[in-house]
Amino acid sequence: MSTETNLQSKIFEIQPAERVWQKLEQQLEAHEKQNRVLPLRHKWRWAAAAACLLALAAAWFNSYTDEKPGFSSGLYAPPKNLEELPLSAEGSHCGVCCLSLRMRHTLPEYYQQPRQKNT
Amino acid sequence: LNEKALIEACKRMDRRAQKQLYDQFAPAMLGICRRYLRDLGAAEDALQEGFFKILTRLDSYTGEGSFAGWMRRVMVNECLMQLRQRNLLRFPETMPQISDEAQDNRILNQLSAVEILSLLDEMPPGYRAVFNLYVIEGFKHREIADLLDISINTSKSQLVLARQKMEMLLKTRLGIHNGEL
Repeated sequence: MSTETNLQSKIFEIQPAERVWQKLEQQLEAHEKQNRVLPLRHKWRWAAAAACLLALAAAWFNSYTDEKPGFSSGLYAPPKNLEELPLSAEGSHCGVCCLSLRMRHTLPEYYQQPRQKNT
Repeated sequence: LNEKALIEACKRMDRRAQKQLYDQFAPAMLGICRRYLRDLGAAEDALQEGFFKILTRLDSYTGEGSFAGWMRRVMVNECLMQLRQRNLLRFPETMPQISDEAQDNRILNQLSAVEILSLLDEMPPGYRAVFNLYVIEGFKHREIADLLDISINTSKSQLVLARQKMEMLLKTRLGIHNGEL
C-alpha cells in the first residue's frame, strides 16, 4: 500500500449541518424551476398545432387576396393604366396609386392636372 | 438502491435518491473540503456548491473510474475555486533547499487524521493546497500545475516548502530539536 493510500485512509468524516442539505435542496428546486421544459411529446404537439394554424392562416390570406385585392396587392401591384381606372366608383379597390389620382379631382382645378411647362 | 441505480435515479432528479446520495457521501466530502478550507462554514459552502454540481452534472460522469473518485475530484476543484475567489492561493517563486525533497511520509503515517488536520490548519492556503493535492490525494505535479494554473517547478517548490513547514510545525509541537526528527 502506498503512502498516499495510507494517508487517504486517514481522511476523517465530518457530519454536515442539516442546513446544508436544506440550502442544497432549495438550490436544486430553483434550478429545476429555471430549466423546466415541456416534455418532448408535448413539444411535438405544440409544433404540429402551430404548423396547422400557420397553414390555415396562409390559406385564408390567399383566398382573400384572390377574390378582391387587399391592402398588400394595392401597395405592391399598381394598375398598369392609372388614367383608365373608375375614379369615382364606390367600393372600387384601386389602392394607393389611384387614391392619389382621386385626390387630384377633389383639389382646386389648378392642381387637378399637372401644369404644362411653358415653352 | 445500488450505486448505479442511485445515479440513474439522481439523473431523473429524484429528490429521495439525491438525499440518499448526499447522506452517503457528504461526511467524507466535507472531510475533504475541510482539509482545503480552514473555516468550517466555508467548507460547508464548498460542500453545498460541489454537491449541486455533482447532482446537476451527473451526465458528465462517464462511468470510467469510481464514482466516489469523480465526486472527490469535483469537490477538490470546488475548494480550489473557493480559495481562488478569496484570493488565498498565492505561490511566490521561492527556491527551497534541495535536500528536503527526499523527505517521505513515514512521520505523517504515524499521525492520526485529526493531528494531520490540525497541522494543515497552521499552514498557509497555498502550501496546504499543494500538500493536500500531492501527498494526500496523490496527484502528479503536472496535474497540480494544471489545477492551480502554475508551473510544474512551482508545484514542486511549493511542495518542498510545505513539507519544510510541516516538519517545523511537528518539531515545535513535539518539542524535538533539529536533527532528531
